[in-house]
Amino acid sequence: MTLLLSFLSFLLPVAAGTLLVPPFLPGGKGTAADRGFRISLGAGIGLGAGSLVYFFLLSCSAAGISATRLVLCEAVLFSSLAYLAVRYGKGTSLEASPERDAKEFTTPGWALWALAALFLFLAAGVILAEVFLSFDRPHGGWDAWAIWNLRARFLFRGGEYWKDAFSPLLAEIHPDYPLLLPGLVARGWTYLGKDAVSFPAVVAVFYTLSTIGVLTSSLALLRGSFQGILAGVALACTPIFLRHGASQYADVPFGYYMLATFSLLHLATSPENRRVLALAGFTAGLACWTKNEGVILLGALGAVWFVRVLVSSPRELEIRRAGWFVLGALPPLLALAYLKFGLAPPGDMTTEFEVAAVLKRAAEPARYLEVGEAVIREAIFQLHLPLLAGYLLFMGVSIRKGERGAVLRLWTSLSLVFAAYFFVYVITSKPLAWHLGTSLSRLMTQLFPSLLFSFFLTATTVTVRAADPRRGMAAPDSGRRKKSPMKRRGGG
Amino acid sequence: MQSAAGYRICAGILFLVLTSVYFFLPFFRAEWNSFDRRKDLPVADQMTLYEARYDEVRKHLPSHGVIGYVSDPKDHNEDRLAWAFTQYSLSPLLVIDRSVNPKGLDYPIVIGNFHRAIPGDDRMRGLSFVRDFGNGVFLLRNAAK
Repeated sequence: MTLLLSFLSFLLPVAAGTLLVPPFLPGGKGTAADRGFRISLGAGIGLGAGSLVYFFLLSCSAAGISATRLVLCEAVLFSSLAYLAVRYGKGTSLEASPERDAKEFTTPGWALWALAALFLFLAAGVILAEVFLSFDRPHGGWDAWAIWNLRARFLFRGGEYWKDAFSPLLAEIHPDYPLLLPGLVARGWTYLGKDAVSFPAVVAVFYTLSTIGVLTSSLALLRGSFQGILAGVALACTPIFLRHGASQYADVPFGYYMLATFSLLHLATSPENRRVLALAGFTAGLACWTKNEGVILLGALGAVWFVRVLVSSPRELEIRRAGWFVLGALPPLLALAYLKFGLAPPGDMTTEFEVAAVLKRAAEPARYLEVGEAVIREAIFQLHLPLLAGYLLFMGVSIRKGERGAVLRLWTSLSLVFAAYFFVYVITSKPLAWHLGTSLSRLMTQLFPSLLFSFFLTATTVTVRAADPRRGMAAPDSGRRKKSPMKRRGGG
Repeated sequence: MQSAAGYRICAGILFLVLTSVYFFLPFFRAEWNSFDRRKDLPVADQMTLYEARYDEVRKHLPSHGVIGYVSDPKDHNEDRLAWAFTQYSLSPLLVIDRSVNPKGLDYPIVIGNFHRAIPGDDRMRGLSFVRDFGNGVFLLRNAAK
């Protein structure tokens, strides 16, 4: 019964998200990459919206939310949205791929099938590993039960006293942290009628798999199936990502929304892509609704956009594009503003902030060295970045001409986020070794899916060779085509 | 030229795929073995056991509001872990550790969570025992309030 109700609590927002997302996206329909992207993106967007709706209903009610009321409100809202999307949403026409003046290598069709089979095998392994990890620690890691699930319990069990979750008396457990994950878990528990331990674990596994899905499918759309699956294999085989995924922390969901934002911004290449930009804004807003680091992401995107506005000739166009992005980000940002200014006490990062002490710490070279050493250790031994460097040595760098600006902006945004994380450690008022030991691995894991996305956009693309009957020569695969080359070759 | 580049690309792909799988397999095997071992164990995980300690006392506590918390001295990590477990188990009650937050001294109902011995120091000042629930869990009252 718990399993069935858990499924139902996922079904509404996931189905609505999956139906709602296509009219916002460019590109055709029908390929596996298209479907994969729409499902893995729509699911996360739907769940994020579910968390927002739950918080909105909770804020409007005096005595908590009953399951009946929640189901009714969500059924009306999500069904209406899904209906409007199906009825009036028109997917924009298929975009021309950027010029293929970059180097590309082709492999025979069987190589794609072999890689896809390996990927499916690994995906099954990932699901099993996540289940094993969840059985081992059903309540998740320390921060999961001490922060995220604890706050979900306050929201669910608290009834009319749900605002006790934001009591200054609980300063030790960060009552100012955003509510996407606690809201989502409390929402699921409201469906179930009890605070089942298994539900947060299901949410955790869901985001882990969706992150792999978004990475694989977005790259398959942009660079072909082979490149997408390679990236998926690299992420699925990173144990630290899988461990953090099952830990029920908010870092993997945050990484998911960061990746979704970057991939949507990369898809919004033409000026007409207002809807994609609004959707990218919404996912960036959901990143802010997931973790405080979302503000750093927004800051990095804003800085890059500002420079772009300065250097672009029709500035109005870029400003208008930014306007659509901000419009999409508004709903989660408004919820966050209400949480930060209306409910929660100030966070420890602001209350412990002293300019003189910060300047003193920022001027200590030893702190930079200590943070740098920890980052390098993490990059080598947990994220296995030397493997990617090795891969790049074999493949070389080759970015498509039409995408060079977009890829540069992507790397710049990601580097700015990383630099901000680095600097936060340098100036932290907490004991540095302790702060690094308890959070660096999680922060690097947040960045990792987006790093892989940028990396595989930069590395030379590998596509599948398909027979071109007109010219009698190999033609590269494109994830954007309506029919895959494999199909056109009769599966061969 | 095309052939040499082709071999290089194949080598690159194989390098990435094989090393990725090389890191995944030991991780998967370790998790599999851990799961296999756990199946034979009669006990639940630490948190589930900890929650069960509070099953009885929970019936004697208010459904919401603030209560104090007192424990025997432990090293810092163990101390914070014990308090956080208690806060998680008893939520939506706000459980305020009297040894960390002086505001915890203001509340009449206090939960005692002792692992080794009942401390005889300042921590217990003004507290009287109401009931012993076993396993080191006590309900106490702040006599001054």
